[in-house]
Amino acid sequence: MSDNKITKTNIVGFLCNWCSYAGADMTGLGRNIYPSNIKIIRIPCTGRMDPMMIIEAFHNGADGVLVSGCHPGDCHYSEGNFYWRRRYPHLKSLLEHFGIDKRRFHASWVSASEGKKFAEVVKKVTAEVKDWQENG
Amino acid sequence: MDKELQELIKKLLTEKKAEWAVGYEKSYDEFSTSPAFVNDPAAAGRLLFNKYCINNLGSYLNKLKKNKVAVVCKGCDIATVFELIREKQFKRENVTIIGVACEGVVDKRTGKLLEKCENCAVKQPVGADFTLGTAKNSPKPKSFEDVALFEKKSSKEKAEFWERQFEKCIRCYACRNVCPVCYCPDCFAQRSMPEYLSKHVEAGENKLFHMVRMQHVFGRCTDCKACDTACPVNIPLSLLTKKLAKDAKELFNYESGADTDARPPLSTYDEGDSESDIM
Amino acid sequence: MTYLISKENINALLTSLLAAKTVYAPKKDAEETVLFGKLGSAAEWHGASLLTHTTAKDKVYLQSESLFKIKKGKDGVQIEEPAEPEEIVIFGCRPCDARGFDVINKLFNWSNFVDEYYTKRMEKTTVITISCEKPESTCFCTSFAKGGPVNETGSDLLLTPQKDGNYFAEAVSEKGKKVVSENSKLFSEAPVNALQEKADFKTAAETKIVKKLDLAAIKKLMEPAFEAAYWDTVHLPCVKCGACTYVCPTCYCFDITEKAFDNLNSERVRNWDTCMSEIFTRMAGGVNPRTDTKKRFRQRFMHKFNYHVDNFKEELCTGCGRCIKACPVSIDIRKVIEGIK
Repeated sequence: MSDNKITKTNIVGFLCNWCSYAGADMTGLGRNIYPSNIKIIRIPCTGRMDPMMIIEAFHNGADGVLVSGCHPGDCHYSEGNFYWRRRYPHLKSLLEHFGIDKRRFHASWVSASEGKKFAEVVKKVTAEVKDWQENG
Repeated sequence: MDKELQELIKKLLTEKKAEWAVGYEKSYDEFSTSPAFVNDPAAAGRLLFNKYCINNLGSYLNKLKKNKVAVVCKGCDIATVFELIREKQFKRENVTIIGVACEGVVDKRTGKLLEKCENCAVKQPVGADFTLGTAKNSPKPKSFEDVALFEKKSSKEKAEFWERQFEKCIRCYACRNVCPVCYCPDCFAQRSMPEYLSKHVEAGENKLFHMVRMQHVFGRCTDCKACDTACPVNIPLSLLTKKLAKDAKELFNYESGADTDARPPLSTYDEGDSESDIM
Repeated sequence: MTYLISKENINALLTSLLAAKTVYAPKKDAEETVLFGKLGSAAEWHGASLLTHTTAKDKVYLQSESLFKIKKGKDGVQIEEPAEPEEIVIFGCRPCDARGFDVINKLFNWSNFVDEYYTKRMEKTTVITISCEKPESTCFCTSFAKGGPVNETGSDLLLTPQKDGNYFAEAVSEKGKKVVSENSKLFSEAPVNALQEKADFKTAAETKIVKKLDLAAIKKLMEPAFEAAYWDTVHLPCVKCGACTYVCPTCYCFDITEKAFDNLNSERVRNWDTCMSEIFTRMAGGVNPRTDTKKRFRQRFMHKFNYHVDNFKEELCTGCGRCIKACPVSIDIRKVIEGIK
């Protein structure tokens, strides 16, 4: 089945500064190992996550994209992540319609203290993206 | 109906209830019409309405913002006018909507009735200031079957389908320019600092343009098919606009153009919104 | 040099040409769009007399042409020239399309300015035209001095269908003669009445052309009418896209940009540009002399029927009518220029 030799898996991670980015930092501090395929970009809030950036990421060769923010109710800017919570399913559906497999695009809520969770999230995302790469 | 329409326009212009009237006039042969702009009551005789009146005249209202305008609208075009009013592009009192009963319009490229006309619930227009003529609405409602069928394809098949379509795209931007809700004076496609979209015309860049444009019109697009019928190379944009309409309905119970006081789905939120598959 | 080629041998000719070169001919796709596509076999040729949605212009004058690639390395900067263009055949275009090449040829070989990219490709292109049997309501090729349903300007080989289904073949240029000589088995002697049949064909086709414009008279009115109020209203339906310019066989305006891939690699590309676009005249610093939509609309017609005539003694138009068909709001170029008083 998997004759495709994946040479590289590139995942772009958009992490909100206050929760997820700090959380990812915690992952390192807690010595939780996660795949290094993810390249992190810091954004102030998932509310600012412009869908165009996600589309451009895929256009420029990203195999997968992860957007991670504060848990609903905990947004540093009060409601940014509520807007993102609406934007994400719409965007995922639209991208799927254009042929971007649903295994390539993910979202998560990771708080500043959830170092372990972030590692799990990245492991899951990487596995799904690799699954898409191998099995189409 | 033409006589009635011309008399009405003449009256509105003479009584200064409108400064400009936007309607349809005959174009190069009996199977085509062009939008007509009339500000002289004596010229009202140019206007007509028939099954070749395919253009959505609502998209011109943005250009005539500063004037009082009377616009000839089919039932489907009225949704566009309401959407633009909702977006505060102009005031309701500055527009006189002349609804015309419509049995369906014909695509000049194929000679066939547009697919949307087969399941039209507004052949008898609703919400106009004046309504001319009568027509019977289609018994069956709008169906999203073709979108649902397309959704069942694998992502590989979908990607290949769009690759083939966007290979044809010549980036003329006819779709964007006829779209009533695409009125940004500085469109992302034209920016050079930063350059979001390369001027290089090839399938990948073309796909980027269409993906972003569709995302930008989500929740605002009324699925009027202006973009689909404008495309010189017949890219099935209707498959995209219908998807937007389906998603707006299914994800957020929202229909564009229905309520001029509504908040569009992405500019608002609800504390009870679904978490979908967020980890 | 005149010959006859049978209907069956047309397929054989296509097959023979395909073996040696890339052949572009009208091809129909799943959405009923007829475009000039690369033929995989002779059977893919959509031979019915139809005006293709776009022209074959983009096979010679590429919509996005890589001028050169720039690579920065340890040894400095290297410029990589583009690959040599390959031999191609454009098969089954109409006389109005072929004449479009003739018009652009003069532009890209103007005095001392020779456009290498276009010229190299044109040298490697053979144009095989089929005379036009069914002009449409949008056609007006006969309004031009060198226009007409059987006109051979710009063609290398002109094929005129005959009543018996065969084609009367005329080798117009050396390239055309080469096609015949390389496929001599497929061509036979033209019958005695062939020229008469061609003349009858021409007359029959011309009767279908509904409008003939007096372009010389129109040109005289254009300059004085530059500031006329006419332009204030005639441009209103236009949505200022670029459909008309991109489907036109003679429109040639372009924009040159650079695309950087990373710190070390970039490319200079020439793309088609449309005078209808708001950013057509945008310059560095944001200056834009022609933001006014009325001015952009007026410019197109002035260029095609006035300025170009001053520079090249011919209009920048072949009367194919594609702009009228492609226009989302059905603006008729003939109506616009006839309205100038």
